[in-house]
Amino acid sequence: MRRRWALDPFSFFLATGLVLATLFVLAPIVFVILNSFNAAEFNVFPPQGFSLRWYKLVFNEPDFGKAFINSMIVGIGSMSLSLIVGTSVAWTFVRYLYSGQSLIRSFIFAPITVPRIGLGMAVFLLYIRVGLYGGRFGLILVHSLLSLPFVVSVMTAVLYSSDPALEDAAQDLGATKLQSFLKVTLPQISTGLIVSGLFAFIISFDELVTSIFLVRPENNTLPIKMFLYVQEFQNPTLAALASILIFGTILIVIVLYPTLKSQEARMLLSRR
Amino acid sequence: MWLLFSNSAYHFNGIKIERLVTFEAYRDFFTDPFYWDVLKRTLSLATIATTVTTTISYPVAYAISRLQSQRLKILFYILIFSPLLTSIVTRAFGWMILLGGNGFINYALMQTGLVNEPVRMIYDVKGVMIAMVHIQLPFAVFPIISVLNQMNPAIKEAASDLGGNRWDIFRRVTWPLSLPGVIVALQITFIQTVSAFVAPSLLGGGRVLVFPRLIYDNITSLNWPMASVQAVILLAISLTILFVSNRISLLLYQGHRKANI
Repeated sequence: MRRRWALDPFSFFLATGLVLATLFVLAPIVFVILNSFNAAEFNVFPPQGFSLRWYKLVFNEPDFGKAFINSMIVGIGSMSLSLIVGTSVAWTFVRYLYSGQSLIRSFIFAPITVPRIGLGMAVFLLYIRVGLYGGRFGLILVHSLLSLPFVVSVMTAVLYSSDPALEDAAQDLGATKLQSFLKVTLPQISTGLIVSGLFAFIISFDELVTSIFLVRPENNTLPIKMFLYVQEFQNPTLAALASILIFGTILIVIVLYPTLKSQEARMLLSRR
Repeated sequence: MWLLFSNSAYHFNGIKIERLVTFEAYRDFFTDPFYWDVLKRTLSLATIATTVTTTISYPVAYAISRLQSQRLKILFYILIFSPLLTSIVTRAFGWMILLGGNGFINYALMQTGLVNEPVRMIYDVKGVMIAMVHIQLPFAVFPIISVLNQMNPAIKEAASDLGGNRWDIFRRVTWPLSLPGVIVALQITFIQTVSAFVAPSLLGGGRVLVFPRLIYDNITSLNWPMASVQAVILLAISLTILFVSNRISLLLYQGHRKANI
């Protein structure tokens, strides 16, 4: 009995702290959404009535639409590239033992430890020299580089848990290598592909610091456009745009939730 | 694969070539007190932000790891990590709304009578600091929570059976075992805050000049040699931190092994 009493204030304290921290974490997002419906000309609390006009403004600004399309192209492009390269690399890590493996690993994981701005600067100088500067293709390459560590680590974990004996069995039964990959391996790793693909897409879609040097203004991605916009204007248009993105993300997560639930929770909880 | 290799190699080339062409930029950098000021400000901001972030993150990670209900655990996971799904610009903008002169925080402070006029938080170090801590929090919680989850509950039980009280168990069992996670959290947070660009740019509004912003300004004003020098220095800082913290982890690990023998 005594022990319980000694326990409770501590747990209470911890729980309060956790709730406060969660509020802190969610506050800016909640206020962006609140502010997007604000009728006032500028960012003010308490909100002065309800209005949807900022949403109309977002759709009337063609630059946002263009930037969104650019971001989608770059996001999907770099997601595909890093999934293909990342899965292949993870495959060689799991199934083969060869010299230079740890060297390749450290190359792949290097972009994590390099400050983004330094990376952006270096790639910028490189692109100027090789003529990749300004275009979307250059962005796709850099973004793939940034998401590769995540893809490789998730896919390595997933491939470790898939059973190579099943592939052998399929091939013994007359399947070609391609058939065994498509029909046996792919279903086993599909969740991993979805999770790491989502990671890769989000990394690309949100990346600002490395991208900002690498594109010409007409190829600006959404984060760049947003960043430049906030520096210039202080009105709820951006809040409306950000809210649209937040709602979009929530929608995607809800759609993918059944897949994410089992695997991702397990991976998050058991990683390393 | 060739792509990765060539990219990493180019990456260094990019900097090295600039370095060969203009050696003077280094001298300019090291002799100008203005740059030293910016460097000092960047390092102190990063140090404070790292300390604050990790100090908040530990109890958060600890509390989540102690939750009994699996559902609650997943709920808090989602809530704490959800900002990662939104753009960093959105998060910084959210703080601009919250902390502005007409924002919620100032409104609340004035209503409760704590202050008589709005406190200046955006376009100021305070705002930059708050946004930095917010942006880094998930990155610091993650490594700590993974170590805590990994910990074998039997060890704690054993300590408690041997008569340790709560505080003893924490101090002598949980804390030392979770140190590697704390070091990773410190390392990630420091490296990211020292190279933070968005929060100082937006919440600092030109008043809080930090190193990454300086690099950006130098690139846009076409002073590429200076930008390169600063990028090299930033890189050197990050690598030093990385090396030192890895070294500490290794020492800790060896210390554990010795203690176990």
